[in-house]
This record gives sequence, C-alpha cells and structure tokens, in this order.
Amino acid sequence: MNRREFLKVTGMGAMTVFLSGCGLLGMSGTGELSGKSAKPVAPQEISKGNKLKIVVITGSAHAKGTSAYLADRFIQGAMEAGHSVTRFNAAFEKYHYCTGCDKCKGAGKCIFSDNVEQKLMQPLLEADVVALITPLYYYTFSAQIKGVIDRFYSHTKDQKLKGKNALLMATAYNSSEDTMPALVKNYQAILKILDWKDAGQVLAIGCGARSLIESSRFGGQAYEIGKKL
Amino acid sequence: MKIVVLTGSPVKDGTTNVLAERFIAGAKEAGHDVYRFDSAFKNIHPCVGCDTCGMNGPCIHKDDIENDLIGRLVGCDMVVLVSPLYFAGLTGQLKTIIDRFYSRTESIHRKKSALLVAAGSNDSWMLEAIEAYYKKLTNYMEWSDVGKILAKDCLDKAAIEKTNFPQAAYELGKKL
Repeated sequence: MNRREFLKVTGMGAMTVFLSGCGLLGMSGTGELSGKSAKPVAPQEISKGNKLKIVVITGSAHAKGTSAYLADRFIQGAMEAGHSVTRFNAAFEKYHYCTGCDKCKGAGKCIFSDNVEQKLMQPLLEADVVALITPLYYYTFSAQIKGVIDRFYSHTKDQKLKGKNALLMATAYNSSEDTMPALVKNYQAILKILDWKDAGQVLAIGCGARSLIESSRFGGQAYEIGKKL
Repeated sequence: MKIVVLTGSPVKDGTTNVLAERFIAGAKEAGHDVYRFDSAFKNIHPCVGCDTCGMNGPCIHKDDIENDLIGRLVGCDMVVLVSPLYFAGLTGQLKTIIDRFYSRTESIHRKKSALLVAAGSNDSWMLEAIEAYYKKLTNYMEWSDVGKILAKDCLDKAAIEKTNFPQAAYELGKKL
C-alpha cells in the first residue's frame, strides 16, 4: 500500500474532516467498557474553585504534531484557569519499559532511576487530574506512552495513585466514527484498574495533519476542558 | 507455513512463555517453520513517525526489528502475538513492534494471525479491551484470525500450568 492508499483506507482525512466536523463528544456508558466517548466536564465539576495539580503525558514523537496541539490547547486552558501543569513527553524522555520484576510490589520504588521514576512519578502521585494524550498508532496508544503507562505499576497498590480524574485525548487520520473504540476501551480498563474517573475525552478523528486539527473543533474542545476543570 | 511469534513479556519464564512454548511445540510438530522474536530482550526503538520509510522502505532505526525481524514478517504466512496483559493491553515492548510495522505495513497485510495473552486478574472487562484491540488490528491488517487464547486468572507460571490454556495453545499450533 502506498501512502495515498493508506490515507484512503485509514484516513479520508482531508476531505471528511471539513464535511463531518467529526468526533462529537457523546455520552459514556456506565459500568462496562462501552468504548464510547464521555460527556465533557461541567464547569468546575472537579476543581470546585480550587487550583488543581495536573499531569499531562503525551505519546507523540512529533513535537509540533496533531496531538501536541491538543496538549498545548488543553494546557493553555488549564493555566488560564490557574491550575498547575506538569507535562511529560514520553517520546522525548529517557525511560525503560517495565520488566515485570515486581521489586516494587506495586507500591514502591522502581529498579529504574530514569525519568519516569525521577521526573514523572512524584507529580503523578500528587496529581488531581491526569491527561493521556496520544496519536492513534495501530488503533491504540503509541508505544511510547504505553511504556509509561506500564510503569504506573510501581504504584498501583499505592493509595496516592488512586481516585484521580483522567482525560483522554487522541488524534487519528481516520475519520470514521469507528476509529477510536479500542483505544477508549483500553483507557476505560486502565481507569478501572487504577480506580480513576473519566473526566473527559477529545477524540480527534480525521486529523492526519496539523493544518487539519487546527481548523477542526478539537483544539477548542481541549482548551475548554482545561479551562472548565 | 512460515510463522513469526512475537512475544511481549519481559519475564523469561513466565505465564505467556508457557503459551508461546506450547504453541511453538504444536506448530513444529505439524511441520511449520517458527521464528520467535522476544521483543523485551531485543534492541528495539519505537516508531518516531518520521515517515522516512514512506510506509514501504528502510526504517531509520538500524536495530533488531529492521535488521532481522521485518523481513521475516514480510515473508511469513502467520503472525502470532503473545503478551501478558499490562494495563489491559499488550506490553509497551510488543506495542513497539506493532508500531514499527508501519515501514512495511502493506507487505505485512493479509497474513493469518493468532493472539495468546495471559492476565493475572479474572475480570472479563480486561480481556474485552484486548479483544477489541485485536479485532481492530486484524481488521486493519486484513489478517485472518485462526485462534485466540485468553488466559485469565493466571498470575504466574504455576497458575497457568494448572489450567487448560497451555494445552489449548499446543493444539492451536498443531492443527494449523
């Protein structure tokens, strides 16, 4: 398959993004993994007027790509609302994959003293809100962000990692409404494992290029979520 | 058939290794060629989306994926994904391999495939998430699924050896 055919199959991006205005935030299911997106957060549902600690973890190796744009807009909104943000760009940080050694016992220090352990873990444990922002690679998280999520294991039994508010933001070439369910199901399962609560999703389908996402509604959605937490 | 088995576990002698070994034993007895690539023990790099490959050419990373694995994936008849469930998904190590399909993605289309996973928990929603992923992946890759082993409630090697899942993996390989 050449690139044009790939775009045809997985994308149809350029045209349909304008036509469909795609990726509405729908209603979420309750107990099960519905695979559907969540309703947007109501204004100040989480902060109740207080300043929040937010951790943003990005998965793209493109510093100025589509998902980076969503991260930028979300952070802009959150900062304007007075919240503090720690951003961890997984693709630009030195870290190791979890080796399943279980030295941490799910509640302690990792054997790796890398950037996940030294730069991310403390802000993550203290965070009120965690935003996972990724390009869709083969229908789910990029390897870079999945590697970081796997490292959450070192604190899965730690009360400090439980009960957080989560956000999912993702970008894809494909403009079909059936593009994101596997990612959303994985996200919902992660939330169940960690006892986190979904606080909003931006699922930017039909956004295969920076120009497409900049002219879509998704940047505004990310900004609004940040602003209204 | 030429079969490529991609494993994702960083634990050499763990639950999914049992599944991989049993599957491979069955497949070899049936006369198939098996190449096993243990992603957690190889020199691998994640796709950085540079698109130098143009989806049909050399990757900028001259690692074990580019130098060894990718040609075998292109030339094989069947791809087997073997992974413990980490946060309801494939391990980061195995996801790294899948993302790197990108450089030859069309040439890795239209293979047979199988999924062998093990989870410590017995929550069905955990398996639901990986099944949904596998379905999307196989659909996109135009792979035809020949079988799934979804071993839940298997936290360690001793636990999985008490179940029927290793035998099921063996039989899956044998009947190919």
